[in-house]
Amino acid sequence: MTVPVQPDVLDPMLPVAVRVASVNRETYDTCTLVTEAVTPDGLPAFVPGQFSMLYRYGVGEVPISISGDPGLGDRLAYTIRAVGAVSTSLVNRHPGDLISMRGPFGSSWPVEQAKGGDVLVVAGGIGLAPLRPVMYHILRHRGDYGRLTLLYGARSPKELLFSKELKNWSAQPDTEVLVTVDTGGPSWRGHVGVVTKLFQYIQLRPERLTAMTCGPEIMMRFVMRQLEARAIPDEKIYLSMELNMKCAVGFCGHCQMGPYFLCKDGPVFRYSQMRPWMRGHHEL
Amino acid sequence: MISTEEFIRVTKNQDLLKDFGPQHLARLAALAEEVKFHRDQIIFREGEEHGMFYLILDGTLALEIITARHPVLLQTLHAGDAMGWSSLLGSGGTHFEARALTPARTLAFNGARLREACDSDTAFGYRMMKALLSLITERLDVTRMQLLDMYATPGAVRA
Repeated sequence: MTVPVQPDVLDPMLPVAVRVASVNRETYDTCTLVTEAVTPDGLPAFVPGQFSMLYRYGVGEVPISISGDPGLGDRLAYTIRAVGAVSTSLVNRHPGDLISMRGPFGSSWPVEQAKGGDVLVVAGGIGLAPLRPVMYHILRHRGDYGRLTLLYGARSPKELLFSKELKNWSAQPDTEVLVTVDTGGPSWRGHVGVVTKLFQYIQLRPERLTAMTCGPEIMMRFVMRQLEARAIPDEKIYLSMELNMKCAVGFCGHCQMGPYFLCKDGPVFRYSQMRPWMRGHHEL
Repeated sequence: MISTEEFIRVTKNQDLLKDFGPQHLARLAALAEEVKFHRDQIIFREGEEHGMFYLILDGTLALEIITARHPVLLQTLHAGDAMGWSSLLGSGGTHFEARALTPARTLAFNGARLREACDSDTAFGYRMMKALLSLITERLDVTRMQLLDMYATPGAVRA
């Protein structure tokens, strides 16, 4: 099992105020808010894979993955797509605004267990956000890992997150970054097709591989099929299940999946834990 | 035409041929011809009776539909991919336009000759049709995934 990380907060239900230090426009509907502490106590530490509950007074609260560099401890970054009232309100924040936060919560990507081996990261859409700390972590400790491969898919070029970083990462030693879109415009010269098609263009070493994936559940099911076809054991496959999380501490039960509370026991799970609960797997 | 040894060497990464035995690879090699395309070369146009089947050795090709305003890129194909499977059915024109996005090298097969080989050697034909079915299944999966618009944010998390 992945081990849930205990929240580094006194009362996990009590929001604290944080200040928006900067806002980076990623796409037409997605921003990264970089937040900093309001008090001298600073912000709690996080590990890659964790999320926070971000709160806008009078609007509501929403779980958002931490997407920043875990090596920069004094700030927490959140990449948010405007899809509803709360997320739209957050995306419309400006530097200097105050928002409220609970957390960080949840389990982490297995960056320690993956040391000494290859790492495959497969992301779709906004799913790259919770995996960006993994990329930062591995590239910061490059000597501890083998080959690093990122497969990333989005609807269109204008919906690709972190474009500059994708370019920078692909220039790193022993690092391969393949990006694909469902629909390419006239100026797009990269891959067009779904993210699982990219498996055909990479060489994996199953005996030393750890795979981490995040994206829509449908995408992850197809990713699992590709990994199974390449004999990657379920125990070496990790996925982030970010569904229906409300309280973040396992009280409310909204996010229960089988015996697990996704917010408290996850959101990062081994595939061996999630396999029975990912409906439709056997029809694939 | 290229030698069987050369054919086996250059097609070792072709997923489509992974279950072909030496005898069937030799039969395919006898029908193969190396064809190169330069950047932006139109390989075939939509609706054309092109009649060729390709295994891509290197480079990037695009399948497109031409609208009134501009081409819409549907899929890119790369080393290890196959293109032009409708030529193996021997009826109707191509469904898309194919264009080379970069200089590309392929192995080309005349669809009519390939069909004849399948008819005269049914074991080879069965192997070929199984490979073709797996190619079409993969295309169907990909199309279904695109239709699902799987990167859309699920309704349950519209907070």
